[in-house]
Amino acid sequence: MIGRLGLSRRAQLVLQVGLVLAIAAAIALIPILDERSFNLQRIAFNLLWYAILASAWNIVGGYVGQISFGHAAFLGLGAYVTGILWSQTGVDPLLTLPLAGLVAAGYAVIVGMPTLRLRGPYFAIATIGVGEATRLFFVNFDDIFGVTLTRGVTGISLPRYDPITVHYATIVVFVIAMLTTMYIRAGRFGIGLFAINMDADAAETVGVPTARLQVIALAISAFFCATAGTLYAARQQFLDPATMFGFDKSIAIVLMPVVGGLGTVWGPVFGAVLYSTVQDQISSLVRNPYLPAVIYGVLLVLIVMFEPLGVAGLIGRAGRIARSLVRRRGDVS
Amino acid sequence: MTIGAPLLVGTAVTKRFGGLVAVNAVDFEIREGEIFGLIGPNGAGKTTLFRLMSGIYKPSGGSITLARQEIAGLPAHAVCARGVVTTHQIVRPFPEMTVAQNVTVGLLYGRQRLRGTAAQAEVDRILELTELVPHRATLGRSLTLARRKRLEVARALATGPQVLLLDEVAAGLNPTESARMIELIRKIRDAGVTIVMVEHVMKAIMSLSDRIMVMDLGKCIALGTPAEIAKDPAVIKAYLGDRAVA
Repeated sequence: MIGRLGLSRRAQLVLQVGLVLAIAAAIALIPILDERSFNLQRIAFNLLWYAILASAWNIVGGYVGQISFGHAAFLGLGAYVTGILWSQTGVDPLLTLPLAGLVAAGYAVIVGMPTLRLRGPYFAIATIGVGEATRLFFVNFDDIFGVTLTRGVTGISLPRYDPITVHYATIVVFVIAMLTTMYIRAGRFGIGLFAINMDADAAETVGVPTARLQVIALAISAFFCATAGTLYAARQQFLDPATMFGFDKSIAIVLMPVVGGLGTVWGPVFGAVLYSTVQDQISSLVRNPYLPAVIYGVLLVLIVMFEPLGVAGLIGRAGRIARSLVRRRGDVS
Repeated sequence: MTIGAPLLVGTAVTKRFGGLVAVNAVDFEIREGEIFGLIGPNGAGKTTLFRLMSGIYKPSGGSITLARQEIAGLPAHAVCARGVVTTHQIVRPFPEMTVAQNVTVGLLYGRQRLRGTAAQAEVDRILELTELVPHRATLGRSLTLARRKRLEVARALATGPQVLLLDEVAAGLNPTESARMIELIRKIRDAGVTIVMVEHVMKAIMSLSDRIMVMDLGKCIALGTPAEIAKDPAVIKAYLGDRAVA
């Protein structure tokens, strides 16, 4: 099959994997070239961190088309699994990463089985409920169980952890997340998810187990969100429910893939670049804490109005225009 | 094609929607290799019966067996995996997939579960059969109605069914397109697939069916060859009213 850029599907896949590895390698060089480049390391961490979250969300929101406004639940759950284990037992936080992912995936299966029967706005509303309920659960965790683990709204303070190690761990998770989304999109699982997205009833009648596939997609998505939570815990030394489970986090996770290009492999990454840059630059230039949100809102409205495929759609369009220009010039000569 | 043993058998199949009994204790016996027609006035319960056969609806009572195995109550994807698949009365191609990709979904998830080059060859064969080869790279949403209907059949066929349920695949087609569809259905049957079809286009159903079942108000009112059905007083009454019989 011949796809974009006139390349075969296999060549495209090789190109994309190469691109992921190139980005990973470039970011891996930062601490080697300058160990004291803390600001650059922080920017790189934010970028990859948001890209992991956005790509993970995109599996459910973009591929299946089930828009979740509750993904902070999985992020926070991962962060708290790591935070509690690390602060209570002293185990290396990065070792808890697979466990954090699995706990969130299990939680996704439990909440996904009933909610994924809903579609469109009904699913979206249900996920808002899941997100908020999870946040409140962690706010009141200690009272519910009569223990001192999460310290409610006060949050958990964590020991210091080597930021360079977190830097490399983040790169590894980013690469695995990207390869996973690519692999899903190119294969049987992905075509099933897209079929559900376009017409769930028709998909079911031609043999696609729609309920099971959606739950698996949500579990994979939750897994990667939770690993982002682990990375955050290891880097930031502080967790509180308002930040980790905050509705603003859930919104950010939705905005990035939508702005970048829903259902594409690279859209969420573009979205993460835009989002982390806007967050970073605007808040350092202007002291108003609401301005980034306003700018982002305006961007979102413009993109949804003019290019629903987001930045990925814009790039595709630019490519087509460029090719037509080349062709026209070719005709003249 | 010789008609063989009973393949898809329903016993006292019933479906209630609240107080409405859409399908009321219907028995049917569809034999291997036949084309079984299902007709009746609007609201007779034909489409409901189809949805029961294909697992879209769960029956309120009764049993449906495929080759003596109970399939009533299974979800639609599981019924499809056993070999009963339905097309949709209102065509539903995956709009943002090409014709070839639409067919591929059926291949990957149906009874055959083909992959790789075997899947590729099967896509070609099915597109050839359904005369969709020139449109293989066209998106589902840009097809004409006649081609959408053939894609609907192609996608269902790709799942490798034993029994193919065709819900009004000739409706809305002009006479030429309709004739091509009749030809296609006959070819599919000759390839060994048992066919059950609901159809309002009488020419299609009368010329194709080996046997026809007539439904009215959720019940079976007649069963027989097309010639027998055409003369049956109960059928004439159901379609044309009381005075027509006299």
